Amino acid sequence: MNQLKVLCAGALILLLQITLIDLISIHGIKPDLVVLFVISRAITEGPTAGVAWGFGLGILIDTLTGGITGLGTLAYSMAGFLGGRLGFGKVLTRTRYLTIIFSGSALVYFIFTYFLQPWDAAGWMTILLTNTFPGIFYTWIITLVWFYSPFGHFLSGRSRGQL
Amino acid sequence: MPGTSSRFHGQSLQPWIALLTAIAFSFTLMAVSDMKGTEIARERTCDILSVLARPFGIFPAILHLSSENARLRAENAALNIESTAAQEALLENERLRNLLDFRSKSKLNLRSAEVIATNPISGVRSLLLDIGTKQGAVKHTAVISDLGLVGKLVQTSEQTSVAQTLLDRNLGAAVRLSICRVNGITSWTGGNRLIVENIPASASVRLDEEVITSGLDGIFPEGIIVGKVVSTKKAPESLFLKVEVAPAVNFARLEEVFIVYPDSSGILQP
Repeated sequence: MNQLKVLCAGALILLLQITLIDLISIHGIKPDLVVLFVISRAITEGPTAGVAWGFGLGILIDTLTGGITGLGTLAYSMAGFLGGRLGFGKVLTRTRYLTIIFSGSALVYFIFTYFLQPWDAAGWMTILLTNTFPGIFYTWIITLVWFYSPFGHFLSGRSRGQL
Repeated sequence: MPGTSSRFHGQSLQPWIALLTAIAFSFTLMAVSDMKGTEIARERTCDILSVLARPFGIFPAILHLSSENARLRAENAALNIESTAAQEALLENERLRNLLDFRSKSKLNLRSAEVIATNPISGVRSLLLDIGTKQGAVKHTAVISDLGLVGKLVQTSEQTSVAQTLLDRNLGAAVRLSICRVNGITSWTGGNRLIVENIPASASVRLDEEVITSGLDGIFPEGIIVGKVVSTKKAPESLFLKVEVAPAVNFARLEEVFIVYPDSSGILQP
C-alpha cells in the first residue's frame, strides 16, 4: 500500500469510528477501530511510524471529545509504539498479531479509564467490568472478524500467505 | 564497523525518542487544554471534521428510517388523540391561572441540531452537533431529544458544538422522581444505566416511576424526562437508596437533538 492509500484508509477509519460505530455498539460498548489501525501500521512500518500514526489520529480524536486534549495522543502513541516493538520485523503469526492488537487496545482502554474516571475503588471496578473490559474484548472480536475477512490483509499490510 | 554500529544504535533509539516526544507533547497539550488558543484550534478542527463526517450521517439515517417511520406514525396517532385533550386542558389551565393571577411559567425555545459524529473514546460520551455560535449555541445549554434529556453543550465553535451526554461519568443532572417527589442527582456508573443518588431510604420509590429534571442545577430546565426507574438497592447500613434508571433516550441512535434556550418572553418558538 502506498502512503496515499494508507492515509486515506486512516481517514476513513477515523470517520467510520466517529460516525457509524454506534450502529454496532452493544449497550454503549463500541470497538476501537483506530487502535486497530494504529497497531497494524506500527507492525508494518515500525514503532516510530506507529507513534506518528497514534499521535496524528489521537489529536484528531481529542478535538472531538470536548475533554482533555492530549489524552488521545498519549494513548494511541503508546499503543503504536507497543505494536511496533512487539510486531515489527518479527515473524507474524496469527496468534502474535491478535495478541498485539489485544495488548494495544487494552493499553488504550486502561489509559482512558485511568485518566477519565474519578478515583474511587467501587466505581472503578464497575467501570472496568462494564466498560473497559467489554470494550477491549469487543475490539478484539472485531479484529478477529476483520482478520478472517477477505480484506484482512489490507489492514495488516501483509499478504494473506504471510499471516 | 563504527558506522554500522552507530547507525544501528540510532535506529534502535529513534522509536524511543519518538515515544518520549509524543508523551511530552501529550502532557503539554493536557496542560494547555483549557487555554484559549487550544480551544480555538480545537474549534477549527471540529468545523473541518464536521464537513468530512457529514456524508456518513446518511447511513444510520437510512438504516433507521423504516423503524423510525413506523414508530413516528404510531406516535403521531397517539399524539393526535392526546393533543385534543391537552389543548382543552391548556385552555382551562390558562383560564384558571388568569383567574388566580399566576405568572405563567417560561416556555422552552428549541432549536434542532443534527448529530454529525459521536465520540470514539471510551469513557467520554459526547456528540458533535451541526449547530454553533452562529446559530446561537451557548456553552452549558441543555440538549434534549424527542424522547428526553440528552446532556449539555460543553464546547461551541462557529459551526459546531460538542454535547456531553448523560452517559458521561462527569455529567450529573438534578432530577426528581415524578411520583414520590424526591430530588437527587444522576450519575453514570457503566453500561446504559444511570444511578440516582441521595434518595432517602424512607422514600417509596416505585418501579417504572418517571424521573424528570428538577431544574435545581440551573442548567436543565424543569420537567424534562430523563428515564424510568428500573430497580432500587439499599445497602444494609446505608440511609440512602441507589435508584437505577433506564434513560429515555437511546444514546446509540441519536440523529437529531434539540438545543434548549430558556425563553423569558414565554413564547414557544419553532
